[in-house]
Amino acid sequence: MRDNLLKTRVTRWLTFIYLFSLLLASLSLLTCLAATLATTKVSVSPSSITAYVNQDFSIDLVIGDVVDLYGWEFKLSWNPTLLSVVSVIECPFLKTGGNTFFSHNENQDTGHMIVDCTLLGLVPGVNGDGILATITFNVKTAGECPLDLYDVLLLDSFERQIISEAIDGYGNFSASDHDIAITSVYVSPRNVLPGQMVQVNVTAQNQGARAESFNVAAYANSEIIGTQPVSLDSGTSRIIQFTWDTTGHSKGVYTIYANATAVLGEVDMADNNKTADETVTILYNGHDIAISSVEPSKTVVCETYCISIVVTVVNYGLYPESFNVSVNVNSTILETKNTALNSGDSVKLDFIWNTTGFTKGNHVISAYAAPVPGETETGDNFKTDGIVAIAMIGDIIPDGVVDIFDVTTVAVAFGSIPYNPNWNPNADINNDQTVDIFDIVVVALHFGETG
Amino acid sequence: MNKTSLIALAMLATVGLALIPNLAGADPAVEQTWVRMRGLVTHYGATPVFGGLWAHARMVDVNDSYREWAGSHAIWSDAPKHINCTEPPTENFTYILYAAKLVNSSMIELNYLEYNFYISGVWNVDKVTFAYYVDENGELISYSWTIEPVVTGAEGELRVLQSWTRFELAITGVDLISGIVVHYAIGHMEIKIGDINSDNMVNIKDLVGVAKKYGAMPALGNYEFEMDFNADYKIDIGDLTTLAANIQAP
Repeated sequence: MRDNLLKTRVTRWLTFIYLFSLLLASLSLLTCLAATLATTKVSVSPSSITAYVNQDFSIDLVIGDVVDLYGWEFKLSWNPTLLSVVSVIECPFLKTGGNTFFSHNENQDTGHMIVDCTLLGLVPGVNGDGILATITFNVKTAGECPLDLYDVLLLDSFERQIISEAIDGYGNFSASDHDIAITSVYVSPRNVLPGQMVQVNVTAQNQGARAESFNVAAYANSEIIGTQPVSLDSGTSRIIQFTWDTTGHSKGVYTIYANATAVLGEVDMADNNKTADETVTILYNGHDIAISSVEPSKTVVCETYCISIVVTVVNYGLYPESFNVSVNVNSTILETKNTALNSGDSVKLDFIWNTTGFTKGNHVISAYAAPVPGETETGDNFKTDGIVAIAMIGDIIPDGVVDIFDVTTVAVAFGSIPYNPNWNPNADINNDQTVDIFDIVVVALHFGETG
Repeated sequence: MNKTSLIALAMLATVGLALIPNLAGADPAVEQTWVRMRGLVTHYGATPVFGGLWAHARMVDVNDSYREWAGSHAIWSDAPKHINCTEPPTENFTYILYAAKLVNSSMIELNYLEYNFYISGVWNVDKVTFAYYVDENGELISYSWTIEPVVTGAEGELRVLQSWTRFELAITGVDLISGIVVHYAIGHMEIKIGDINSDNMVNIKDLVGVAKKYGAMPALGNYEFEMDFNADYKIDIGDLTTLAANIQAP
């Protein structure tokens, strides 16, 4: 009897343990299944985009169901014929876990970007849903293309990869119905004496799908020459003539441009303004040359490195002239060049300043054109324009120490060449017209130095 | 990571040396060779020390115009317990290390004389003394460091020998610095600074690797000299920026 009771109890316990184990196994299986189903998703939002030509639009890179996110990277490609990147901005999701480091690099030619962000230090990653980054594009021309999100790399605080799924976006871009433009501005003659007339021919075009009425104005520098109303059918263009009376205007170089007022519903207003390819020079009735600008290529140059100084000289007189132009650093003549100019012409002269032997600190740059025979207007033969600081090597933010501000300045301009939006000539320390690793290395080698 | 495991890693890396003769996609008008190496400093003269050496070089021939560039620095100390320490200090202490930096290279060669790799140039060597101040709970209150030049503008040679297994750094006026090569790579495409995990690309994996050491300094935090690209004795925003600059869009 006692044995039977014991046997029953043991059987009950074994059954309980078996069922409990089965329950645990089932729960583990369910947890694994749930984890598999809850794969982290990174997606372009909105997934379907429509925008007009010349309009900016933004997309978010959204992450969902992430656990312990410490750092992320993604690549995005687009059709560079249709779109150009305006900005890439970090969003606050990762910052909820602490301080972050964010970097991005775009290749506008191939239509690819890579964007990275990481937390800093020994902190846990962040969880949940959020926005990683916002990217703004400008539509260059009509068409459609995918915004292909790929090579998404998510790392947790143990530097392990988080499995994720990338979801693309798709854009459809069209021209606006309303679009007018100034397509050309011609001036004639280019050289005049005060009181003579200049003909300004402005071509306006209706690039939209509907008939439009608008005003066109022409300007000489900031002074208005005149305004005329224009009506154009879709796809047509017309030349509008203006006459500029130069009476009362002093000698000088004048920039002529035209503007068309925007029509209702117009998106592309960048081409509503146009500047004439050639300037108009109002001459002086006699012999007269002048320095019109002095432009050092940098504001900060490192000791022993070279800098270019471009001097623009103009012949305002009625006669061809040959004369000497010199560039001064403080009161020291750097170099003298001879140049010859016909009436109304100008030229840019390039001078190279090797800073070896010059002291650190600010130096005043000036240029002087030696007066020509018969010249009486000599006040503009000398021009001071710009101060150049000589700093110790690597100290491109010249505060006496090579530090993170110098590194960051080079990093911001990294990969740029002249005329790129992020070009900074001061960061091109070695003057090879590219801000590259060689410039970073110069700063890095001198990092921490003071003087 | 302790010294033993680092040496084991070094030996493993030396056995599995990386040679990257990647010519695919190279511009035929540009012949370039990149070299990267990392080493463990084991001796300063006859004194056993612990530290690291980093060198990165580019030799390029563009339409018969030859240019070369090299960067290199080494950090070492005879107080191994403080480098790479993972435990915070619990009392005030000072810590001395030595740092050699290549200022200007004059000659960079592969397979020169009996050396596998050779850089000559001008070096600076500094003695750096850190002072760390902590409270009774081991929390850091402040720190400072002073730099005393040992030699400035001295001629020196970095020589890699014995089939890329050992190196010696001979700088005029200081004892011979020597050690073992833990990794090297030779390529005809750019070998980028910042490829911490040596997978021939610079990406978020490298960035996170450095970010996790953010704020680390010798003897304080998990400092790794090879992540201190600018050799300023601290893993900080400058190193992250240098690395990020090498993450390029396709």
